[in-house]
Amino acid sequence: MRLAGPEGELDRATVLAADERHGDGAALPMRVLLIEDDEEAAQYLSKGLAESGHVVDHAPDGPRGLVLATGEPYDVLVVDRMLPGLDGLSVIEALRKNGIVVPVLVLSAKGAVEDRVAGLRAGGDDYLVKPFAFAELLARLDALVRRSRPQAVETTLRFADLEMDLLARTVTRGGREVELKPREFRILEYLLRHAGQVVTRTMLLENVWDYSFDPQTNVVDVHMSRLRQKIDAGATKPLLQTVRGAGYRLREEA
Amino acid sequence: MTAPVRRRSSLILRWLLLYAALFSVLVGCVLALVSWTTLVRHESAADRELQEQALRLHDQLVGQSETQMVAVVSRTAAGRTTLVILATERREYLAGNLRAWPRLGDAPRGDTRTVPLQEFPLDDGDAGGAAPGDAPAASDRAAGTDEEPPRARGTTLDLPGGYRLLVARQVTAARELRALVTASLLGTLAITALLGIGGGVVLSRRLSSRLEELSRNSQAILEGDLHRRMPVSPRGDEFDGMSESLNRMLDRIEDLMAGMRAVSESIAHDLRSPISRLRSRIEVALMQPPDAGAARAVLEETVRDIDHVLAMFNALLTIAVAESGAPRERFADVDLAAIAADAVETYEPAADEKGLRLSLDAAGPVRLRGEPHLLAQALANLLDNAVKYVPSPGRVAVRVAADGTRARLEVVDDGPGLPESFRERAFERFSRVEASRTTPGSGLGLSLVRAVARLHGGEVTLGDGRPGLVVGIELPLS
Repeated sequence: MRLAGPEGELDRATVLAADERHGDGAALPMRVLLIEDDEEAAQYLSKGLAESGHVVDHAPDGPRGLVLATGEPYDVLVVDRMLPGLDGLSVIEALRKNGIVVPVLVLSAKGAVEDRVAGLRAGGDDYLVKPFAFAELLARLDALVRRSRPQAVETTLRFADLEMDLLARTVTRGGREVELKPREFRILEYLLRHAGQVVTRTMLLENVWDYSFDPQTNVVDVHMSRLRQKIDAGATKPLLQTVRGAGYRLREEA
Repeated sequence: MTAPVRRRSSLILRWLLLYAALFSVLVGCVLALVSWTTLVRHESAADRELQEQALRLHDQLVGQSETQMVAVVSRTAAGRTTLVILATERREYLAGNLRAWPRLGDAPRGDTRTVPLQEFPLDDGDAGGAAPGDAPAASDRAAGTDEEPPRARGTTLDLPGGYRLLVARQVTAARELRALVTASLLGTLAITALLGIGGGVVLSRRLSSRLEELSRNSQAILEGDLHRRMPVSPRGDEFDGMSESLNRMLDRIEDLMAGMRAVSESIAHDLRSPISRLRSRIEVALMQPPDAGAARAVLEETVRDIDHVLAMFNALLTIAVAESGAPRERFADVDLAAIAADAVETYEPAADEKGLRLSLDAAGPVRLRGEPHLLAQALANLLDNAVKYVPSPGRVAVRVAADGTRARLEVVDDGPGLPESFRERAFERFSRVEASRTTPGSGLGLSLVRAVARLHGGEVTLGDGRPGLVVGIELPLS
């Protein structure tokens, strides 16, 4: 179960308006298959995804989900772990056995590390524990869909005039070198790899810190504000944005 | 309530009976062996004695006249169990307690030094009256009807002048031997078995009564008398050992149940307040005329409160998982110093913003078996507390050290510390210093730290830093 830091809590209610996500074209429309037996949760998720500009199909149990997933080309699957008929992990295993590599986000009420590991081992690509913020789900789906597009092995990451040399471990903004601490470097690397997408605090904690819990202190926000000071200091166009109620994003102001 | 289970058979009694049976068999074997060897030795001793007697008599008779020989033989035969007969060359009776020369096979005759023995049947009545001293065997034989004829074992010696001498003794019949041995065997076996069974019954009664005492107590506990404990006698035997461990288990269960009760009461109390707050807020909002802006504000506050409730649930869940011991399966080699360095580096900017100096004091790697995520979370909780409660400007230090067997992780600050009276209660769930009720927080942080420390076989202590607080976590190294 994930909760953002105290600052995020205030903004949580501000579920992103659909137009805000569409405006910059950052969130691509996705074809989503939702396999979820909880009717109410499924309705809420379908509605939210549709309002965010995505196309959603819903299967209420494992077998029907498997049939849909095998027959239709989806961009991403959202699979509940506990399903009647065939549980979520078995559905994923069956798909993987059939050579279907569509990215899968596992939803579960179980949050323990071993459950997370089991979910990922079964072939899931990401794991989200209920209850979650809808913005968190959107951000993770977005990240999954983009990640599924093949990435070349890169030694340099670029966004606008921001450049990161992964070999020399240096960062420049507009040709001017930016001094970063190791943690800040890793945060920025993660942001650059997900440039244009919303990255939530929880995603940062998981991927940059390898923390599977939410510190009560707003540690992520403080690190982000320091990072922002370093890369956006004196620049006319700030790149590191705070997305209300969701997280952060590298974005070029129009 | 269920009645105590009626036992149809007693394991102890069965085992003791089996043991008694095995023991009887063993005793029987030993007895048989002992009787056999004794009899064999007895026979050979009797043979030797007979041979000596024959030679002695032979020496006495050599060179005597017939009358003298008859007198000597008669004297020798009188009142002896040894069978003696002196006969002429034609085997006619001269003297002795056998009435006639027995029918002997063509056995080798003894010379003056070697005395070969041979067995031969005695004619019925041969020795009947002539050997009155041969009491039990003889009378037994007399009582019998179609028994095999008695046998004797002896030697014949030639005397000068063609006289013949026979010295023999009656041989106890094999059947009689068997009877003797069997009788003594059966007798002994009977005694052994009786003692075994009797002892078994007594022992099993005593063991059963102690076991039943334990089941009675368990039953009482099962029926709700949770304070009852197993009896422990001052003898300190195996049963007392078992009772003691059962009692320790019961103490632990009672502790856990008390903990559970405290948690559910606390949950009822601490979660009820935010939830009822939520409810009234929404209710009041519904009474207002519709206003999108106001509704939005209410919803935002609602989400914040719900997040707070969820955070509490999360913390409770993590504590429960840690207390269950399940994460031990995931234990790996971890470096406590590296975890501390990571946490300090993570919290340093936040502490800095609040005007606190956060520092790390670790000499080198401190390796132990542990669950890295929970250890990191425990330390993060302590740093959360420090950042929250230590006033600016202040200092917070994280120290990691190890001696031979234990690792020690300390978070030391120069803040207000905790009043001594509160220190033990601080580990209880939902416990918070009254003054801090207004600061956001679940009151679960230290409970989680303690659960994680105990999961790793360690313990947490709160000390006075004069000024400030010293939270120490001691963990075993291996």
